[in-house]
Amino acid sequence: MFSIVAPPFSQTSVIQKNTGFVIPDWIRPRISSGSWLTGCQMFRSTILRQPLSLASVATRRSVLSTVSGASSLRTQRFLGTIPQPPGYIQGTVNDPVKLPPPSPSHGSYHWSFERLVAVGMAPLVIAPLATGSLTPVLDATLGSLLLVHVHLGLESCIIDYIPKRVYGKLHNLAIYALYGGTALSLYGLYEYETNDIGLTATIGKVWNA
Amino acid sequence: MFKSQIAVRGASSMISRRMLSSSRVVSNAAAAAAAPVERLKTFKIYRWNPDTPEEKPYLKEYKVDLSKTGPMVLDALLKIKNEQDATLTFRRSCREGICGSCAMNIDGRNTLACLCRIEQDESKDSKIYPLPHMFVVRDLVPDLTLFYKQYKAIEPYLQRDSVPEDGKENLQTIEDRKKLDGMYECILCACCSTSCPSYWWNQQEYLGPAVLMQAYRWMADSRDLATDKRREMLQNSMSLYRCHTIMNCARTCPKGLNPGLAIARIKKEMSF
Repeated sequence: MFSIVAPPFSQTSVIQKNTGFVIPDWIRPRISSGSWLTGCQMFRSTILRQPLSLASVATRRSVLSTVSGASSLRTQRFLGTIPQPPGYIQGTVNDPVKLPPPSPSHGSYHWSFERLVAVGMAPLVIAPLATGSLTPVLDATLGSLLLVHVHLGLESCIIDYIPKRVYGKLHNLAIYALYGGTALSLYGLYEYETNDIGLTATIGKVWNA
Repeated sequence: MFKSQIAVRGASSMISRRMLSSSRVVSNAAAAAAAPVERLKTFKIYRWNPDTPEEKPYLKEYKVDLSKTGPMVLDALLKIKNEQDATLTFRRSCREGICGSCAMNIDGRNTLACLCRIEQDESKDSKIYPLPHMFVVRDLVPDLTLFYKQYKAIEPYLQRDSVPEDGKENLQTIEDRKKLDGMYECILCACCSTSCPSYWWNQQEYLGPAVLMQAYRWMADSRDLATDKRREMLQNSMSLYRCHTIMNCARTCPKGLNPGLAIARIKKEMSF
């Protein structure tokens, strides 16, 4: 299986990502010979932070085409995202990938908690359908479980689509925003349960309206 | 007496055989004369050359006569490479679905070119791309370096701290052996991993269905004693738990395996 593979990051091989759509040149990482790491660091601290203007792109292109042997990774990325190593390879091609340190609270406990919340919601959803109403305490429990369920689901979306590896601080920002939204919703839920008719009664109104 | 009879029988069978073969020759000749019906099918194949990186990847069309081609897509690819365009690049080795080299995206589905029949309707084009969301080395050759690095990370070999009592073999019951069925057959072609949206978005951290199924293959092996360590390795939000049971893996597997089920079993066994 290895026979035809060229050494992936030799001087001649420019690796291109097959994403199914055309990536604008200014997003696609340019790889040339030499150490990408030093080029990358140099680049991130200086050029990447500059505002993108047509002129700067044009000059950078011409520099690229003339100085093809210069050692640097040229890239201009969306929202200042963190450039990734060529071919996503950390270390040498013969090292195994590094797995993060074990943390059950992000692993199996988290997964079990997610399932328990989902399973716990099921009888609370069925009960008002069968009996027509819920006590305020059960109603509040259902609302809270639903909130936790939605929070965990959205957190998963953020980890998938705004990964820390690529977005850095923006990932943290998204997580904080999620916690803020959840806290606000929890307060709203409290107000709703204490000063208003509650969750199931509101949904029931749709049929009685 | 007997001998002569046998000889006569032998002779008659010789004659009949010769007649048969000659009639076959005649029928072949008739077929050759009657069936030069060209059945040209268009193959659109992804091309990208690292020597000219300024040129964007494009689809190149090749017309192949199906009446002179073997039944599988790999036959058509080899015919194109032999007769039309020697620069077309792809991996292939065993041509019988056991090496996993010729994994590619054929008509929108990740599969092995050697196990994928050519759609016999010539009016439809066939589109062939490399495995999706992988870095391309050239044409249909994806860069699987990260995939192999991930496979290495799960330590895919027998681990025990004791030797068998007879000093020869680690024995296993038939029931225990059966637990490995549906997992040991995996040939690591990467069709499943590269069909998984979660692997597309986070392949640097998520291990992907193929590698996770092999992780479970060793967890489920009664001879392996490192199960706890293997589970510990997956105790984080990325390596295992980016699987959202999308199940593209089971749908696309050219060997008919079910990596999604193996991942579900890991999650279940780690859970309670």
